[in-house]
Amino acid sequence: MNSEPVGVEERYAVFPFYLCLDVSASMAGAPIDSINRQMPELRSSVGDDPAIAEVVRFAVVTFSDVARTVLPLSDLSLVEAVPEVRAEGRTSYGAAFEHLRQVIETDYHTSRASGDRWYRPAVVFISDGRPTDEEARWRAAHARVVDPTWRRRPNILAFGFGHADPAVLASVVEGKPDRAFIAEEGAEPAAVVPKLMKGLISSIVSSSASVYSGEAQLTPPDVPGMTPIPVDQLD
Amino acid sequence: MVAEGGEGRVFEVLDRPGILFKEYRRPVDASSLRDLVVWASASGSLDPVMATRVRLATAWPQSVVRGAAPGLADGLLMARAPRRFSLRHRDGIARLATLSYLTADPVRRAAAYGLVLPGQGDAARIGLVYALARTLEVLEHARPSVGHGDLSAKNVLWSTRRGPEVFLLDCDNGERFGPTGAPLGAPGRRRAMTPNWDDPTVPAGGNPGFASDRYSLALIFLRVVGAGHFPVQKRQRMAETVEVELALPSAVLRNPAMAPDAPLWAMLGRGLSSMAGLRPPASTWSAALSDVLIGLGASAVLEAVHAAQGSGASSIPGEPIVGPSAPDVAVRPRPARPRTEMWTFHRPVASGGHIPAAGGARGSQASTPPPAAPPAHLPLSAQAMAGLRRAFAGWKSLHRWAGSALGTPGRRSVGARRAAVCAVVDFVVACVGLLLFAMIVSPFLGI
Repeated sequence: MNSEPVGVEERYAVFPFYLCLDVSASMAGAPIDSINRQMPELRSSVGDDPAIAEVVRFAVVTFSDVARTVLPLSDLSLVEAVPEVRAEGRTSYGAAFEHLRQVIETDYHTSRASGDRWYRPAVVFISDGRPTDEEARWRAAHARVVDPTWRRRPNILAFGFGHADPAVLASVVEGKPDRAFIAEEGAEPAAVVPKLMKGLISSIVSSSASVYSGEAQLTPPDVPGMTPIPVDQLD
Repeated sequence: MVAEGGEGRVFEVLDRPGILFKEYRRPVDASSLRDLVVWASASGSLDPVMATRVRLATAWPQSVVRGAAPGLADGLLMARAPRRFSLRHRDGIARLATLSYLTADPVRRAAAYGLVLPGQGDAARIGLVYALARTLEVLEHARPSVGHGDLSAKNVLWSTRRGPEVFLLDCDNGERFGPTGAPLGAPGRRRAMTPNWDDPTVPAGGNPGFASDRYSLALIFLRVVGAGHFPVQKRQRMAETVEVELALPSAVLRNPAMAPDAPLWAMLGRGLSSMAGLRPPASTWSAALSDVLIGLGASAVLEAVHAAQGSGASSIPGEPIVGPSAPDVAVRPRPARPRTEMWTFHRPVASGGHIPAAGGARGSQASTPPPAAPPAHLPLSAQAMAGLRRAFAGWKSLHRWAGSALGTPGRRSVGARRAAVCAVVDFVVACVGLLLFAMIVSPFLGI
């Protein structure tokens, strides 16, 4: 016998997605334009379907010299448009990871206070370059994000193109197999980014469906070699 | 292409308006499909009045499109859901009216999509379940009977435009059942069930059974009338007993048919029970909900449902509403308290910047402190497009408003007046359009 009655306020746990986007100067032009063009489709695909919007929360964090939250963690059905992003500065991975750790922690407590329970968050990290900050700094910041003792540590998927370094991206996903993807050498960012964004949309849609099955999975974008990752529910 | 799903793709048939072609990703057994087509056709055993009810409320398979391999079908033809089974969001674009719109706080849906939806416990919501029960009772009482098996949010469309109506999709998932409840289709056939809308007594990988639609009907009543998710299946799969607290407006609970001690609640508990034999048939639901609607003084809703289903033919007599309580599910109605969440729709601010977090919060509006240096600028083109879409949707609604009256005998004079209003609006729009056009081209012409 379960002592807790099922009431109208009992909801499914939500699946937080953080799009962590490199907006350094090298992303200017086609890559950034392409992202900005695809954002309305992402908002509409997730936000306009009440069944998906119900269980997905989405945030956009950008990084260059500094990291910023462009779209705070949101129910996309309640957002008319995702603000556009602009290219600027260099590529500080350290700023990105420091900011991610802080916003995930803050968002978790805000969500809990409003009655939402969380599945382990997902970070989709997209970069076209190598980190320009000191290696010690970004590795320390990254270590805090993937710290096994931090209960909110996210699952990270990393995608690189342009000058992104496969070895660095592998470090970002802690060397876990099937979680990092790098575009073929010489691939045009203008061709890679739209595919990546479409993949991200289908990833969010598929992952949201798994929430209802009771066995949530982070479904990666449709990239060869990537397989779904089981996701646990946080306290 | 109209839609794409796990099973296949759906296309319009150019020379047959209102008909869709569903193409399977992998060919399926043709005989099961053909049996379903025949079941609802004029040559089938269904009473013509009941066949009309099925035709008006479902995308029933109408023809099988044979594949290259013998015994296999590449697809089928079926009716398209009429336009009224869609909802227009505030951006002016229409989307299929799935049950998901009804299984949450209507205030949240209003904030998100700009829709006005019936409130929790509203007669229109009860009327929708009544319309579904009257459709399912036809399937259940036919010989052979048919179970849909996947009455999920996406497969049950709804409309209240002409009164409460439902329209069932994916009916090719249906199965015919013999008098003992055994499936009559080809052995080994796999039928879909959607997580969160499935019958918890069906083991993983199994097919929905004869009583699965009865469970779905009870679940849909709970979620649609209660305007919430009520996620009960996980507990039921773990063989836990479940107590559901169903909050409803006090005015609804004062009605004897829906009072906390009314037999309806024990019936709902039996419908949700893991003991499939306890679940009331759809005809019992339609009799019970008919009483509830009359008790609520909503006879007009009842009549609207009958009219939309093509006849006022009475429902098939069901089992008595009164019955034992289910040992594993108890439903306790209680007066609703005001919901504590507030929902706010966020539009981008006027000059570059972040938007606050959008979501719900208990007792206060969710917000995140804005960062110090906003880096983003606004998608003005998106705003302009949304504005244009809204204006176009408004223009279309105005003309539909006039057209609907013009096409209704006895209301033509009203329609003529509305058409005159449309003509004035069109004239003004044309003048403004011409003026703008002239302003744009005049510099090029040196005027």
